[in-house]
Order: sequence, then structure tokens, then C-alpha cells
Amino acid sequence: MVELAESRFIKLQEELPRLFNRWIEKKSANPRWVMVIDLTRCVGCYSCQASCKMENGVPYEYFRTHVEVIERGTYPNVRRVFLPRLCNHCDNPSCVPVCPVGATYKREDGIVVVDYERCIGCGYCVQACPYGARYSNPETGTVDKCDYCLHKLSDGEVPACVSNCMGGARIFGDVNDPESPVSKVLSSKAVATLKPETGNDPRVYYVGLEEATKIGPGEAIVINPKVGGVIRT
Amino acid sequence: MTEILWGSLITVYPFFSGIAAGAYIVSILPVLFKREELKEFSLLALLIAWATLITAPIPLVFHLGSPWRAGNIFIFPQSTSPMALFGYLWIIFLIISTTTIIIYNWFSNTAWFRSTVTALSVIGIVISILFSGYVGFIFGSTKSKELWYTPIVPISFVLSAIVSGAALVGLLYILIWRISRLRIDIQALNSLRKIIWWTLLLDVVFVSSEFIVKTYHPAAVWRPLSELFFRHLGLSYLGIQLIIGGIIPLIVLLFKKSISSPSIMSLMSILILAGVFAYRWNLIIGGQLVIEASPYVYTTISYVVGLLGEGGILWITSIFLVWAFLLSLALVIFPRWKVEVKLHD
Repeated sequence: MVELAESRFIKLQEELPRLFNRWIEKKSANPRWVMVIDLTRCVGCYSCQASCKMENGVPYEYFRTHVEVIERGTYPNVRRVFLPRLCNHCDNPSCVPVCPVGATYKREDGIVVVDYERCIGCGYCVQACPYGARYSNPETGTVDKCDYCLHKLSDGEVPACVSNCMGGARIFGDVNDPESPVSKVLSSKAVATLKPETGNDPRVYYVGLEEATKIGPGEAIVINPKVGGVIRT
Repeated sequence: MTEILWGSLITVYPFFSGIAAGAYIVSILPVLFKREELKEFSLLALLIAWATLITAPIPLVFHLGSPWRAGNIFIFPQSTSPMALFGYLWIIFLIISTTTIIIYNWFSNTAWFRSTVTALSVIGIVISILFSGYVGFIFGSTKSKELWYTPIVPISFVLSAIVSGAALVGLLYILIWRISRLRIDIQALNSLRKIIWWTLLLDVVFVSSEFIVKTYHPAAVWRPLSELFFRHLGLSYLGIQLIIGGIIPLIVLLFKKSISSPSIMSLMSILILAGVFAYRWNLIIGGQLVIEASPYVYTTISYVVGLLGEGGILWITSIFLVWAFLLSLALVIFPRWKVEVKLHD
């Protein structure tokens, strides 16, 4: 039974890219990639965080995506909310206009990318991003961030964090295609974005975001792998 | 992992760029505003501006992740980026100050001398204000950092630039004139004292009002900021920047008697320079010490400067030594500053 399940899982893993590729060819002449993260389905396994680091060779102690843990309530009535974070691929990104050499830009398909050949590593975009989604890579001397695993996307595969999400909390696809999983989620569920007041028009949507962000003083503790330690609100 | 991306090296840059702009403005006051008494040290101020201007980009380049691509800022400047202005402003400022020095040293007897120097000074004053202001704009336009995001920063950067430039001119004027056994002109020093006092007053008012306004921010924002001001930056903000580098010099320099003893003026100049450096430090480092652990959940971290390594005390000291060497070299290869003094006497 276990072997059967295992073989089917392996088969599914092999099939997924092919199916996704076919879907892209069939559906999207002009794709616009977005991600929806359903917090009600996130189990806090960190496989997105780990798989991203492995897929993209992210240096130790740096992250392209990470999971924040928000622990609310007092014993015994305690619950945990997991908040996966990544670049929001904003429509009005703060990071793009500040780059002194134009090394970061937004592609037509909605992905904000870094030109690693042009980036001088000044870090201005890191400072400008209100989501803390960028970091200065000490190994390459340039700034780095999530690019939705562009190399996988061009091969017709989904980003590593999506394919490795065991709870199916990360839903990725073309918002221009009404049949895509993201379009269906966006049209059927109430979604919200992080910090809309920044005016950045982020394009990573969350289901069930309120519980992770509406925290009063002393109501919760936060564990963030980027910050280290436990922070009490 | 939590670390400061813009560390002590980035703090040194606006300190130097401010001094360059401030010293340059002091140097052209006799030309543009007929402040003849300032002629005494106008060429010295120009040489200080020049040496500081050349030194200013050194910490910037060393801080870059890919310093070998530093030239990209000249090749691919993006017009929307305040940082991209650096390349053009720096080059124009350097050309103007170098040309002015050359004209003063070797072409001061020509018929076109005065008109050319005036024209260069008109362009130069605009460039120098932009050069010190654009750095403030880099921080003032960054909405992700609560401490930076304010329109006061570019203005106070220009004001503190003039203060620091004038203070250094005053300090080196007293020092070099004493070493060279020249007579210190009290009238010139008094004029400089007034410039410093008024600009410092405006600077302190702007920075203090900014601080007071911040105390009225929502509790979630003010709480980490108060921790920043009273814990992490307690000494450098309240102590060095506001009291030692602001209020004390304002009280002392209010009285004309303060310049009767050049030692007091020198001491006040040192305090002012320390205060301006602390301002750069508190803004740049302090702004990064407040971090977001989760949306709308803020915490603070600490920053300690090392001895070795990038941005360590040895690095900073080396940059200051390069500046001192360049200034000494400038005083030797452009000797007109001494001649001017004798003519003035």
C-alpha cells in the first residue's frame, strides 16, 4: 500500500511539469503570474523555505522565501498561524525606481527580476522594499530575491515552493487565464494583500490574512527565521 | 539573520559629501555675496572641499557588493533613482572645484578671471546644495523605514552640510594658521561664527521638531522608535547629536567673545563635527535598527562597529587618513591660499 502510494506520488511529481507546460501552451499567450497563499491550508512545514533555498542556492541565513510563525493566545488556548513571505512582485514596486542602474525591473508577465550582470550591489532596493523581500547576496555581490523560479517557469514548471507545498497552500498560475487555479481561487475566496497602504499594489494574495496581521499589543509572539529569536508584540 | 546592510562606511559618505558641499559654499561667499572678510580662508575652504570631494566616494565603492561594476552608475543611470544622481553631481562638482582652484592658482591675473570664477560659483552653489541634498533625499524618500521617511531629511542634510563644512574650515583655519605662524583674522572668524550659528540653529530646530512629531506617531510605531532613541541611540542621539553637537555650540557661539580665544572656537568646531557625524550615524544606522518581525510587528536590533573587517574602525581611520593626505597634497600643489592671505594682510 505504501509502495503504491509512493509510486503514484513519484509519478505525479514527474507528470506535474508536463501538465503545467501543456497548460501554459494551451491557455496563455500573454500570461501574468500571481501567487495565492491560503493560510488556512498552511501547516508550517517549512518545505517551501527549504526547497527554495535548495533550488536557488540561497546562502546560509538568507532567504528568498520564509515562514513567519505567529503564536496567539495563552495556554491552554493557543493557536499558531503561519505566514509564508516572499517577494510580492508588486505592480507599483518601490524597489524598481530606486535602482541607480536600472538593474531591477518588472517583466510583462508580472515578475520583478534582478539583472545580475548589471546590479552593483548598492542595496538601495533592499532598503526600499517595504516587505523585506530582498537581500544582499554575499556570495555573488548582487542583490537577490524571489523570481518565481524563473528557470523552472521557462521549462514549464511551477516554482519550487509551490511544487513542494504539502498542504497545497501555495497556488500559482496565470491570472489572465480564467481557468487557472489562481483565477478560480481569486474569484471564489476573499483574499487580501500585505500592507496595501504602501501603495505598492502587491500581487501575492493571501486567504485568511487577517488572523496573521491583526495583532494587538501583547497578543502574540512572532518567530521569524530572518530576525532570529522570539518577538513579543 | 539580521544585519545592517548600510553600515559605518555608508555613514562616512554623507559626512564627507556634506563637508565638501559646506566648505565649497563657504569658499564662494566672497565671490557671490561680497563677504570680503571671508576671503581670508576662501581658498583654504576650496581646497578642503576638493580633497573631501575626492575622498567621498571611497567608502561608497568599498561598500558595494560588486565594486568592479561601480562604473555602471555612469553608464546606465536610471533617472527615477536619487542615487543615480550621484555620478553626475559628483563629476560636475569635481570639475567646477578643480577648475576654480586652477584658475585661482595660475590664471588670477587674466582679464576673464573674475567673470569666470563668478560663473563657476553660481553653478557650483547649485551643484553643492544638490550634492548634499540628494543624499538626504535617498533616505527621505524611502517609505519602508520609519526613521528615514520624512521631507525634513533632505533639508537638514543641506543645513548640517553647511554647518559641518564651515566648522571644519574654521577648525583647520585656526590650526593651519597657527602652524604657519600667520595672524588669525578675528573679523573673518566672527563672520564664520555667525554662519555656523544660524545654520546650526535651523538644523537643530528641524531635527528636534522631527523628533517631537515622531513621539505623536501611533503607539506601534513610536514604541520601537522610543526604544531606538532612548536605548540604542541614547548617547549618540540625545548626547552627541543634540546636546554636545547642537545645544552647547549654540549657547557658546551665541557670544562674540567665544572667538576671542581660537581654542574655544576650535573646540566648538570639533563638537559640531562630532554632532553632524552622529546625525549621519543615527539616521543611517538607526533607521535600520528598527526591523519588522512580521507585518506591523516591529522590534529593534543592535549594531556594533568592529575593529577589522568591512566598515571597521581601521577602515574608517584609513579613509580619514587618505583625506588628510589629499588635503596636505592640495595645500602643497596649490599654494595660492598662502599668497592670498599675504595679499589680504
